[in-house]
Amino acid sequence: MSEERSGMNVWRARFLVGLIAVGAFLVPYACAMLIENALVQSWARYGFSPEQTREWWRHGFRSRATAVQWRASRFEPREAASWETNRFIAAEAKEWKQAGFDLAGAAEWRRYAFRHEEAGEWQATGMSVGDAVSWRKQGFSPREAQRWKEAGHSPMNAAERRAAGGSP
Amino acid sequence: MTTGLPYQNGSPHCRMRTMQIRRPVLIAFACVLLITLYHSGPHAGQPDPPLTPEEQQRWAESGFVPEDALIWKRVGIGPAEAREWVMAGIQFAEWANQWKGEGFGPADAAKWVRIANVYTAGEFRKRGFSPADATAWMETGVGSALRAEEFREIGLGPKEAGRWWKLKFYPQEVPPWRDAGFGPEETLEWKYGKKEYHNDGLGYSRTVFSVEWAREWRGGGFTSDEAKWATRIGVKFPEAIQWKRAGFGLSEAVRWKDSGFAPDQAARLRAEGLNPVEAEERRDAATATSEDEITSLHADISLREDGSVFVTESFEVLNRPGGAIRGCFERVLPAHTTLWYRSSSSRDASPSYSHVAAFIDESPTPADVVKDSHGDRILCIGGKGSQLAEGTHAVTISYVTEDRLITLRDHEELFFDVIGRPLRIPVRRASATIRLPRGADVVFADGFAGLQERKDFTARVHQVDGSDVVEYAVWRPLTLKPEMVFQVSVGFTKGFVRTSLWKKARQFDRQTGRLLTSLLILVVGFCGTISYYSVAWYRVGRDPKAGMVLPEFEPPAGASPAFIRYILKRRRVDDVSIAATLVHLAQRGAIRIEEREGVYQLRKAGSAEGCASYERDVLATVFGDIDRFIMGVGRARSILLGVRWKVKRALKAEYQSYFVSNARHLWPGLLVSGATLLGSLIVLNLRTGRKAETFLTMYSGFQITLFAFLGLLFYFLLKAPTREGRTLLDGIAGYRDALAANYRKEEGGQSDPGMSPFLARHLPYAMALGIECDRLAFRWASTQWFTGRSGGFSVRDFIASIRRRVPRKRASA
Repeated sequence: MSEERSGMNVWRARFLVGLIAVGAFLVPYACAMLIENALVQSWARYGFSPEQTREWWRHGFRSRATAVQWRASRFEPREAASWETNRFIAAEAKEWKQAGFDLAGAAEWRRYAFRHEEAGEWQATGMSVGDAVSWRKQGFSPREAQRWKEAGHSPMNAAERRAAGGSP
Repeated sequence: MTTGLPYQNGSPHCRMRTMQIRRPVLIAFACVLLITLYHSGPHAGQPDPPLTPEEQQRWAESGFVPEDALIWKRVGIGPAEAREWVMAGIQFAEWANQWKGEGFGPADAAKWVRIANVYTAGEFRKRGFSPADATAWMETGVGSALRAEEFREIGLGPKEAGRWWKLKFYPQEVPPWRDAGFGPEETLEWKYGKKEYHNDGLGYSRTVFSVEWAREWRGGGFTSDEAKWATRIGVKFPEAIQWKRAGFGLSEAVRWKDSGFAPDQAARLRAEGLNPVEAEERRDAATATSEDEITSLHADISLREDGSVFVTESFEVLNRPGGAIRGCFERVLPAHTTLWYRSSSSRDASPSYSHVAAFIDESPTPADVVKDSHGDRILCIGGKGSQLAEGTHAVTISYVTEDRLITLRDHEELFFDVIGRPLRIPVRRASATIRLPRGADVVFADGFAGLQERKDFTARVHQVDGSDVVEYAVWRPLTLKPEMVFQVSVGFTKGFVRTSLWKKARQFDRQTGRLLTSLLILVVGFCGTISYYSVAWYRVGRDPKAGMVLPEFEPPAGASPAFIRYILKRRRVDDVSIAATLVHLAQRGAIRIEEREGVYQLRKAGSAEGCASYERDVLATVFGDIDRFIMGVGRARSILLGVRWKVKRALKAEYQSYFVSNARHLWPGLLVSGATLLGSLIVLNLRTGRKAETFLTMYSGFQITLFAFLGLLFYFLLKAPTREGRTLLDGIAGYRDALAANYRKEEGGQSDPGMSPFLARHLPYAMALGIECDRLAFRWASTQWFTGRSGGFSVRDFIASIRRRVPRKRASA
């Protein structure tokens, strides 16, 4: 059997395969680079340097508007990511932080539907979250609760006495 | 329907016209582009001319290097002045230019430059403030010269103005409050009503009180909170003063007032040691009444984890002879209600009701439901037509209701109207129990009981089996006025109620007046209609496949020129159709066409044998009793228009033997469309009002347009040629190809000069088919039916003569 002469030289074929392989990597890579650069540029218009932009992205902030809000509330990407994981929005997180709460404390108080100012007042009376929940349930303000508690009353007891017109 | 002919588009003339329009637009666009590029390019600004050696010398003496000197020179500042600006602390040319532009000299600017930016400084100076004054105003927070001037005009100094400004009062607001003796903090306290909060956490006040109101109430010795509350609940100032003079605080006065006592009565009863409720009960006991009443009402409300609420209402009803209860005992379950947030905001809800059960004296009893015009359900306990026996009865109703929750960012609220609508029957005692899902902690227990904004109830929270339970007890009889309500509102921690997506969708549907259901019907109906039409089109509307197109040298049998054009032009008869018919008649020897000085006239020349019947009608219409018809004169145009209608009618009948409309297959689709339209509109349960009416108009308009478009689309798509029609179309296509090739050859000068007999014979068909034959010479020799200009018969001129009007003088000549 005689060998048929191919239309393409072997080396040329190898070169083409190689070119396609490199192209398969380079083309998407170049596209991704272009898109990323465009995004970095758009973030740069809001004052983010390329490194900062990548830092925010690394911590899961792909939305520029959200990142701007967190930055305006004076949060670094790492800290902002922790707060956001606990479902705080930037403005709220800022309030809690300014009221002196760390993330764990804020998350705990907020879980029981305390606003930061209420939480601050209850904390100032020296009560735990559990105590505060029990007293608030009976309609006591932090100061009232403190007076009744110092007089040795439980929340239920205090509520009954108060309903009957009593005082601590 | 498609004709299957590839040559329906414009002639070369059309293409020429398009090019003629397009070219100037392109040129204009290119010009604009070039001008823009020129102006935005390097030509835009001329570079600064370099400094001469003398200039360089002068600038160097003032301490400027040539690069800086060039900039100073560009802004029009010389070396000496530039030096003054630098000494004044303004080191850059552009900056100095700004100060200069605001009217500052270097000396002046030196005083202001450390206080404010150039524009603020300019504004302050323009309004007559010295640098020291401006500093004082800015230090108190009033950074705008305009505001400072306004405050100054109302006689306030920087310090006092700063206090007002810090609390966001504009200068115009200040004088009346200040003149009435209110300071900024007091004004803030008295001027604005209760703040309302949105989900973004920002508060704002909807209510604004006047200074006269504030002065009056403050003068009466009331606090701003008391005054605002009194105003909200409708207590006027003179009345409040009366109560105050009688020795009652405002809240106590309101209790006595709600119990129906005047100040002097209340004072006497209080002196006897009675509270308002005791006094009210004593009064009522002394009055013999024949009214029916609800001796007690208790609502047991259990919130389930899926967000639904199980309610059991227990009434003790006293039915007296001749009382308000005539027939069954009724309870209204409202279709729409307002859920009030604790923060005074609200949202509208459309609760659902299911699993309704009723008992009278512990025996199950039917509860018939009647819907009123508002969509409210009126439960008739005992059944329609029944009569509640006289005496005291225990009536119990239970049901499951949804859409009672308000979900906020950090907690949820359950709001329930135990008595939300006026009851016709007074209620002596009312209470409620709210049971929360296990684990949910009460954040607050609030609500309303009594008249507007009254909280005449006590609430107690305790735990039962790990669940928080709130016990409400209204401490006043709800007997006096029909506006008395009993509404409970309990806040609780999040995460214990999980409403399914399906329930959320149903809630949304109810809230939007069944819009989702309506849209669903619309989508299903639309899909059904489109599916039906598609099937109908597939079965009867598709055109038979085109056959092989072979060059034909004769027109399809029986097809007149006008009929061929009628098919090609999608059932239109135009001037070309009439011209082709007239030429066809002339070829058959029925008429002669004569032309003299551009005026055409037709002469009867013989019988129209071998012509189509409508062509004979054309002859009869054009000539009537005479044998000459001058085109473009008198009624000629209207006669030819009449001819067009007759031809159209005749061709329509002929067309129907080749093409079918399949209109009967359209009707079921139209019926489905109509049913969908009706169904989707009937289910809507919108509230009345202008917004709802506008929406309904737009929504129904949209649907009508949608289905009309669909019907119209398929009206055209369902039309199809019959097998004979398809053969006719293929024949026309082949004939057209052959004819076009021959005429093209003639125009290109490839055949003998003059008109060949073949082309002359097929001239009416060539006209009807839109083949370009304007520039051909139709000599008398080849067109025996025409006499006229030496150049021969011109198709274009003849077609134009149908539309053209000729002056009578020229015609008679």
